[in-house]
Amino acid sequence: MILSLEHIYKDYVQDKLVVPVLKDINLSVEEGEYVAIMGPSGSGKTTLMNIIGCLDHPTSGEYILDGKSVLGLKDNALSDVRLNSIGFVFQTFQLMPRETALENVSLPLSYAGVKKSEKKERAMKALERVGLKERALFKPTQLSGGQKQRVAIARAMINNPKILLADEPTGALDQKSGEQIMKLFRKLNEEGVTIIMITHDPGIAKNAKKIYYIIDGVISEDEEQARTTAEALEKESAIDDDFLIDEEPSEESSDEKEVTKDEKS
Amino acid sequence: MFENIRMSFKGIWSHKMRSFLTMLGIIIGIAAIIAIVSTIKGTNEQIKENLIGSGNNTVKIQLNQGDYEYEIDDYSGIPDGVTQISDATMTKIGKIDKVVSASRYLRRTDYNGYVYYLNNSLSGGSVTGVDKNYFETLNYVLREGRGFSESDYDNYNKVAVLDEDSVETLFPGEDPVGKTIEINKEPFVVIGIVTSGTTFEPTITSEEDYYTYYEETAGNVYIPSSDWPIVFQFDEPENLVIQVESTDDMTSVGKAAADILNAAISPADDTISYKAEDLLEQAKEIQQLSESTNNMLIWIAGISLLVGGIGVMNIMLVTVTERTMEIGLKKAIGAKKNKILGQFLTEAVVLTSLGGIIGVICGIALAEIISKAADMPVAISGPAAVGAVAFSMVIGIVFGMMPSYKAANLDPIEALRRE
Ligand SMILES: Nc1ncnc2c1ncn2[C@@H]1O[C@H](COP(=O)(O)OP(=O)(O)OP(=O)(O)O)[C@@H](O)[C@H]1O
Ligand SMILES: [Mg+2]
Repeated sequence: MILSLEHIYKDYVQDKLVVPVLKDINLSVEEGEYVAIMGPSGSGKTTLMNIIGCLDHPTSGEYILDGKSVLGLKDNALSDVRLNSIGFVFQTFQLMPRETALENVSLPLSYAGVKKSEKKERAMKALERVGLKERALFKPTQLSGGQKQRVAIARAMINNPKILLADEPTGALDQKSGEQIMKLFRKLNEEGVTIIMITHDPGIAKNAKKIYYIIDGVISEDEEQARTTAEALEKESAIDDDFLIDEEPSEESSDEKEVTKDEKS
Repeated sequence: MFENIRMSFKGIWSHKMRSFLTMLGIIIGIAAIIAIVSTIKGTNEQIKENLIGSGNNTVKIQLNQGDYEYEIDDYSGIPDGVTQISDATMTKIGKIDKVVSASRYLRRTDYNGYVYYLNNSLSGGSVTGVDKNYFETLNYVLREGRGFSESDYDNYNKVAVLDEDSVETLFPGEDPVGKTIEINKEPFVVIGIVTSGTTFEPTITSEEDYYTYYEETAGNVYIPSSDWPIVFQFDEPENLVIQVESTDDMTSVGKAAADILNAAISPADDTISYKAEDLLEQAKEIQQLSESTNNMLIWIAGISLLVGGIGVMNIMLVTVTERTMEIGLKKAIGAKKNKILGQFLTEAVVLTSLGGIIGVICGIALAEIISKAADMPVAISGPAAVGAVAFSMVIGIVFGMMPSYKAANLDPIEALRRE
């Protein structure tokens, strides 16, 4: 098992109002797995991805990555985890607009303290891996969307992380480019990379070996089950809301609040 | 580090206009400081040069009575206990470190109309009795005729050498060589004319003298020191002039020589003693005067630097906001806080250093323009230029710190969510 999330909750506080976004997420991913996470907009997919990617802290729960708990780690240690163990791919590519493809790809190597000569060589290899060797000196503005995403994938893979996290990697691409990206993901997965991918598109999700559904912050392999659990929790919180009509809850109602909090933690 | 610098230049280049305007405050401040410092240095060097005479590193040790140069008066004669400078004393002085040569001389100011050629008087000038080293020690060169020879001293020949001023006074429009002048009623034949190797003989002893040194003096008439008793009847006290290796040795050698001379005399009047002219000290006093006014200007230029620094801080904050996504991404892919801090700090420092370098160049150009337009002396100071660039780097660090710190602490999630 390469990573496991246990009872992960994430709340956002807005105007003194607690908004639960992730509710009791339990998710284990084996090494070499290829997982897709689907769900409607606003259901908490990106929030979950940020927690898996060690960018965000859950409100409660436990997260074991590669056998180690990561939630207690300091900023610099988390940077190292992201640098060495995780590759990120985003919907909007996030390339440095003024740098060439090669420079973009080699960016993580400068943070890993790799020597200059080796940097170029490794970045070149990574570009070759995504089939863009001859575009090495192109700037992002001179590349198509699909090519940009392949540069981003090369950057994500340059430190040979075990896990690749992709948030809507095909969301900004046409079908053909999207399929190319999927082909690349399959290849990487065959080489042993664990992939966790978020998508809206069932056609894209089909590429994964396993599909999870998130609905209103509830995750399940079964879409129906996720929906019914989410609806049940929704009703429960509606009852909570009755008790929380006053901004400052009175002594009596605070007991009820304690109960719901206990459930969560 | 190198990578950061490369990226900084890229960033600055991609916003040429904005970067230039940001640097302008620094450029103006640094340019002003360099121009001011250059004029201060130029003025100071000129003061020093005028006062001391460049390359003519001579220091005079004169017998003083109280605060003034001792002048013999014919009624009271030689002061008790003051003998002439002996050869033994001269040997001692010759052994002082950094002494190139030393010469004894006697001098009387011509208040009394000692010197005449026909009806022309040297009134206001002076008569100087010199030994064989004198012209050499003061770097005087012969312009016409000859100097004093051994036999002139041995045979008490009544010969005289004039300087250019005394030629002007006594022989306007005439060639003096071969003519006979009268010194205290004794006839002397003019054998040569000397000119100072530098622009003038440094006879300045006060600030007032410095300002009046351009005024014409009646000039000097030189005679062999062996003739002195024939003309003036007294073996009166001598003064000393020493050439030293460099300007900076003048003060120390002057003091050492004065000590030796004072040890050799035992004047009854204890206000009489040898004193070295400290021209260096006087130069410093005048220099300080001009510096204190210019220091005010430097403060004003400093305010321009402060404003420039705030401009840099402002633009760096804009840059950080503009590049929120970039910062978020970099942090997401594993950049530590220090890396981000370093990147933005480098950018601020590159920006201000570039401003500093351009400022130094503009400052030098400005100084040259001032020197041409206002006819003021300027001297470019290397250390000031290096210091200015270093200071502009410090400005970059100080004013870049806050924006860089802000960038380093940006939350990557929020940064990435921003579209
Ligand atoms: N910083 C925040 N403060 C408050 N609420 C937030 C914050 N970030 C996200 N949320 C809320 O959390 C919920 C989940 O957001 P998230 O971005 O995870 O959704 P998503 O499933 O990725 O949606 P999409 O498919 O549109 O990307 C949303 O309702 C959003 O409004
Ligand atoms: Mg999302």
